[in-house]
Amino acid sequence: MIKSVLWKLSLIVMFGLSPIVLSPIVQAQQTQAFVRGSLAQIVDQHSGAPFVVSYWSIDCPPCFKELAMWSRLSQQYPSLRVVLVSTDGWELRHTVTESLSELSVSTLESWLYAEENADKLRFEIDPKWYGELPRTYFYNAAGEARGVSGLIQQTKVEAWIKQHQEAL
Amino acid sequence: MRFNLIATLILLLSSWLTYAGSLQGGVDGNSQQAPVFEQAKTVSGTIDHNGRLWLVWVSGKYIYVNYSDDLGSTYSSPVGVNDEPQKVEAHGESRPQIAVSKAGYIYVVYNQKLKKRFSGHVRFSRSVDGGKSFSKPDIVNSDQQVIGHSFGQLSLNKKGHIYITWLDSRDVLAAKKSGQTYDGSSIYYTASFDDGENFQPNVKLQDHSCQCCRITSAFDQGGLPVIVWRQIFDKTIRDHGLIRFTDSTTFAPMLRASKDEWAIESCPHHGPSLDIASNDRYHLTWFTGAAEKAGIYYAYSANQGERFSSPMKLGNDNRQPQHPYVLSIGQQVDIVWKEFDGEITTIQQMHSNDNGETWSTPRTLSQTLESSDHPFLIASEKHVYLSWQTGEGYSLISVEADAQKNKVAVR
Repeated sequence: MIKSVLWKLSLIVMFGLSPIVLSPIVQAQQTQAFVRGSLAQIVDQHSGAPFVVSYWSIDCPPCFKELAMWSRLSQQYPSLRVVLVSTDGWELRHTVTESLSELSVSTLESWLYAEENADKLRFEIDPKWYGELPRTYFYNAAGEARGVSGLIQQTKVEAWIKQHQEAL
Repeated sequence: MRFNLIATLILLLSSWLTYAGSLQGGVDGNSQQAPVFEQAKTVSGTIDHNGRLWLVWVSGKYIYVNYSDDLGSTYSSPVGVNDEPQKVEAHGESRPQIAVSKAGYIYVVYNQKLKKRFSGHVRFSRSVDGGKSFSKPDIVNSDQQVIGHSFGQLSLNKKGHIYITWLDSRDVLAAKKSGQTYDGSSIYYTASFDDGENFQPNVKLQDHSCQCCRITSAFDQGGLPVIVWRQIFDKTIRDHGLIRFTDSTTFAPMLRASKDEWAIESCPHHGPSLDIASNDRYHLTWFTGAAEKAGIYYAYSANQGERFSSPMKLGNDNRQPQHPYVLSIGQQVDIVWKEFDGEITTIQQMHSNDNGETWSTPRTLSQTLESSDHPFLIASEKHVYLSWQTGEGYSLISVEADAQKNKVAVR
């Protein structure tokens, strides 16, 4: 018991989190460092069933509306898989984590840009994407993506969910 | 007993974290340490009437100004602008700006971030002793609620008149209080006609601006400002609006500067660039993400923004062309923008020597394998320079107009 507590505490120290963050949340996901190759890893892990990857930033008011939508939808459709990627940069991880928790999406899989040259990440994600946010990719079971810029209407996402309901 | 042990451990850990946090605060820039120009964030520059290059930049929670009398070979010791640590917006679209008057006064405008999300103040500071010291930065926005006041934009005309424009959330809040919704932010301005001693009251230029793109402004031949920004038209279209002043404190109704019909609710983080030539021709570059025509564009207006030429697309679509910037000296016009092929970032440049009617083919002006800032053009009386910061450092690169014979016409 003590050993396991010590281990958890060492984790807290390692990740620089305040102990309060861990206590009340049951399934909060650790935000992972998004570097070159991370997207391939995400797609590899999730392909086989449809999923969503949504890029957002703490500097983007419409992104917060979209995060609130992901929060609602993931509660309504527990089988919906949404991966959040913040483009803010690793130095802002505390603010990003706070925002995720505030918007009740900290249970979703979460990543954060952690590459010195963020242009490389965007190019790897989609050479035709100019960086406008939110930017959301809908992946089919084969791992093929369709990118959409801007805040998405919830009805459109729900239509996509219904279309893919069996595969989800 | 076991519980007590855990509690003690947590207590010890919390105090350790507090201690570590305070250490981190120091490293973070709460305490003012010797600034390192090589590690500066968002270097922005201007060249004064004596040919001196002035730069403003951010290091930690402080803003610094330094200068170079040999166009970037050697630099003066940096002088701090803010005396108290502040979170300062320091990224491509939102960054401290600098202008120097003929009288030698140095003006700095920047955006202070406050703790609450999307909130901040636009601040102004000046030096009246040639950059030896700066005044305590004043808050420019008369509305001082903890809400959004951001993307402050500084411009200075030849008469020494200072104009500051910014995006303001006060009307969003007022709408909310009366149970209404409000699209975007609004754009406000103030001006000083006594070298920054006093500022005019804040005045709203327009409702419903987009919230996350830089504002651009330039002066016409009468020294009156023309302002272009990303505006929300008809609730959903994010194109560009233009406002032209008709005297120093009066402005004409908004005109539409770009008509791409980009219907979207998003943050493009990709603002326009405007310059006005000595014949009063408006040169404009911008980005749109509109379906079928996403990319960066140039157009000019020969009738004060009433009508713009057919947009000319810039850059290689396979290389994410972005952040175009335009500058003219007489009939000479230059445009630079950034491209990225997955490995190398280049600055592309095009030149026109006939008021933007015909243009050279693009050429690579500079490049890097490292990360990089937006490109800017700044000018001395006769020469245009690229002002660009990369992971390799800051550089000022002469933009020569020679050997550019292949021309393409603006449609």
